Amino acid sequence: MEQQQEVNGRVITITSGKGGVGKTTTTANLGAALAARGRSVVLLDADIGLRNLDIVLGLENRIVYDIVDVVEGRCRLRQAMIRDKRLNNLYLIPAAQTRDKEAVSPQQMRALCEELRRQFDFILIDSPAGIEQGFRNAIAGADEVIVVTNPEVSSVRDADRIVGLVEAAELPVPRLIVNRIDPELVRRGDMMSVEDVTEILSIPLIGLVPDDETIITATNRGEPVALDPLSRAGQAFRDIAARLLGEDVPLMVLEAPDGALRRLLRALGFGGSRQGQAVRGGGAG
Amino acid sequence: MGILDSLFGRRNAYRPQGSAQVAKQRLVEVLVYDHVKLTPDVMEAIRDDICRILSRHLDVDVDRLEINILRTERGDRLVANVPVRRGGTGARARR
Repeated sequence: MEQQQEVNGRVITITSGKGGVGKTTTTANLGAALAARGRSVVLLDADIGLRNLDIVLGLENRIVYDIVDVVEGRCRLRQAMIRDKRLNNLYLIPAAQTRDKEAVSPQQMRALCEELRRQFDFILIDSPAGIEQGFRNAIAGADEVIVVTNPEVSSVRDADRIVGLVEAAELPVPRLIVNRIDPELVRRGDMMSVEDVTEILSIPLIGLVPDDETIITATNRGEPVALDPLSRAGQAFRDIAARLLGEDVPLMVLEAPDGALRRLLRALGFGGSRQGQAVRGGGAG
Repeated sequence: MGILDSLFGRRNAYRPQGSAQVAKQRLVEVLVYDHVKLTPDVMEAIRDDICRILSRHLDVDVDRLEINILRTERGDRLVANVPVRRGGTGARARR
């Protein structure tokens, strides 16, 4: 590692309760966006047994050692850090694929986080789904927690459970990312809006991410969408990274796609006011 | 707007309300119960106890008694709505 001066980095855990809501994608993209802003970042995959952050980042072929090797002393910390292909200040510590969640204890996680915080500005931990040992490990060394949810009933209910557990662990109130918003469904009244979700969970919102096919194509290629200047979701992740850096960035306004018939009707003077219903939330926390 | 609504069939007799509002209402309700860790069985037991105690003093309309847990700005609260029959028959019959 080239940076030798000691820093006092922030340890942020990204979690959700429910699986499949976008934790790993969020971790990868916030890491890439923060690194692109010149911060030193290490991503820690705490989903032991279900390693995924490596493949999302396109680093799956470079793994030699993993987090369990580090805590069990089979390698030095720096040997388990994989440097990103695109950003030379972004690193990954992969999860072990053949072990289970009990392979690491909360004490070991805390010690690891303390060591990493001396070397990096940001330590982002990708939590496993669930509320058991793996989740407890993931928050053990955290300073802050970000909860990712989708605007649907099961992930919001699970997010609420996570909020309670984070508070019980005496960590600060977590901040919320509402991921996979479909503006057209919200406009039709068939998807909960960001306001609905933030009102239900009553925690501060740090960002919203539209459902966007560029996430799928970027993940297929192992490239963080946050590095794609044309992607809406990428912009959303860059905005969240900026808020983590303390910048006051307005929330993205999501507009439903404007169909040809609708444009024609509007041109004729019908129903123009309904377009572009803003999907806004509370302050940026 | 009326034209658009009828063109796109936004709301009709079968879908009087957006499903997002249904989702929100259901969530608010279930989370309140998740928070206070009350099962329907316990709620039923509380209801029975309230009925029994109040019936010692009042002629309570047991069938219409409602208890709910509501989420408010100041936290979750148990709210009982206890209809009392007029006339007071039986109300003084205690002990």
